[in-house]
Amino acid sequence: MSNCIVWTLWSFLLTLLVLVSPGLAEVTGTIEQKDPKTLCLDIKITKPAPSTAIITMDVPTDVTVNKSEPNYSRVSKEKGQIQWLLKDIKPGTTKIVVSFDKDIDLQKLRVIIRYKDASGNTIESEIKKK
Amino acid sequence: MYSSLPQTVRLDSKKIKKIREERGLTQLYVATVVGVTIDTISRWENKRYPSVKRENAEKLAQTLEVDVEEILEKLPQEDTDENGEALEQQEQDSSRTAQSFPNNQHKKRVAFFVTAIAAFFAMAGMMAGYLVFRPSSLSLDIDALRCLPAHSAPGALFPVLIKIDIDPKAKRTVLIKEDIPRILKILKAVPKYTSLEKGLLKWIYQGETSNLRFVYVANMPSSIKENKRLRFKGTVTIKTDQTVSVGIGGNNRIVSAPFHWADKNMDNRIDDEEILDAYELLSGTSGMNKLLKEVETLWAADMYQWDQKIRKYVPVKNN
Repeated sequence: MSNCIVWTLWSFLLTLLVLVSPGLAEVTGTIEQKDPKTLCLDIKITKPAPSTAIITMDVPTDVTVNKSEPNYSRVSKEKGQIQWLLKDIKPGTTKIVVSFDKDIDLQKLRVIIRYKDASGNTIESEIKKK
Repeated sequence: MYSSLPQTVRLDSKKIKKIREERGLTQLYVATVVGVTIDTISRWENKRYPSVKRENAEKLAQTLEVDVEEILEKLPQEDTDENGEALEQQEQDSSRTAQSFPNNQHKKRVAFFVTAIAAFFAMAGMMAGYLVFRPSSLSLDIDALRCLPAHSAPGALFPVLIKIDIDPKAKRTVLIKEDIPRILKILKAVPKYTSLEKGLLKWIYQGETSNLRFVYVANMPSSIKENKRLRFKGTVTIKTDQTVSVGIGGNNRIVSAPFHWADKNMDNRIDDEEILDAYELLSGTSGMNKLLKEVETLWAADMYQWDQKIRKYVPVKNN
């Protein structure tokens, strides 16, 4: 019977911890090559969504963005870096389609998502390649 | 005669069977004479439950026409139930009793889990009941924090956020008093302040919201000397069935310096971390688009400079 009480107390405490712990925001994504010059990013945002997130794509310095939907917020040709500032984001999926003037190797790219969680900590995660 | 025997004795099952067969007695006969079921006799002979009540052992001995000592197991008794009654009762029952031994364990496990689950829900119910029906006169837990930039350029605008977290939820009146340096000009406040007199900004709020946000935009005077420190002081007073007053914590001073308020490390650049902080501070507050747009423009540029003549931050291309 004492085992029963201990088991019950532990379950109760664990359940309470799960219930009272705040939900953590999560922004994840995948990147896919649509054609040799076009990339498609799917950004998934879970509740509670952060207000803002920055997507940073490191590309070879010799490529130029021909078109981006939505438009990029910042580009540095010297650094080979393109950035999108996602504002007023809501839970759900956001798509970014970007095409370049040259063929691009998806495996050589690095895409990072950066945002603040509910506690104010900066979360940085790399977007998975499909 | 056999009073020296304990209440419960252990039978020698093989011997019982042997004597019964030698005497040509059937299990039915023995069971009838002793007053138990055939299954019980069968169990005694198969050593499933060898412990029996002394009286039954005596009756069995009489039926088999032997001394009771002859049918008792010679080994010392170990697993004898002190009470004996329960065991005997089991023996008196049908053979189902023997087969139900694993079932009893299963029943015990089920009972264990049912008890555990019932206890869990009872505790959860008590906790929920406490949270729902706890008296409103519990002491208020108030957290008031000012998010004030560390610096701003003379003549530039900067935002100030006062965050108030109150627990528990209850209808209440909140009075916020923010004592700001008189040389500052308040251009905007969200929500609109109730009064502003002689550098004392006041809001009065009535409602049940637990997380309150008060934002105002101030203008650092262009005439102010560089590195001049300005101090802020504020209090939050909350009235429910009691009145509680706390000071506003957080940063309480700002310095005049030729750097943007969002440029925390004063390196003439707004980096990713700083723009995220700026958006976290102001997003969700209406009327802050102009300030945020300025931050975004400076972030998108490589660097910026404060132009004192035009009183603006100017993006600079880094080459």
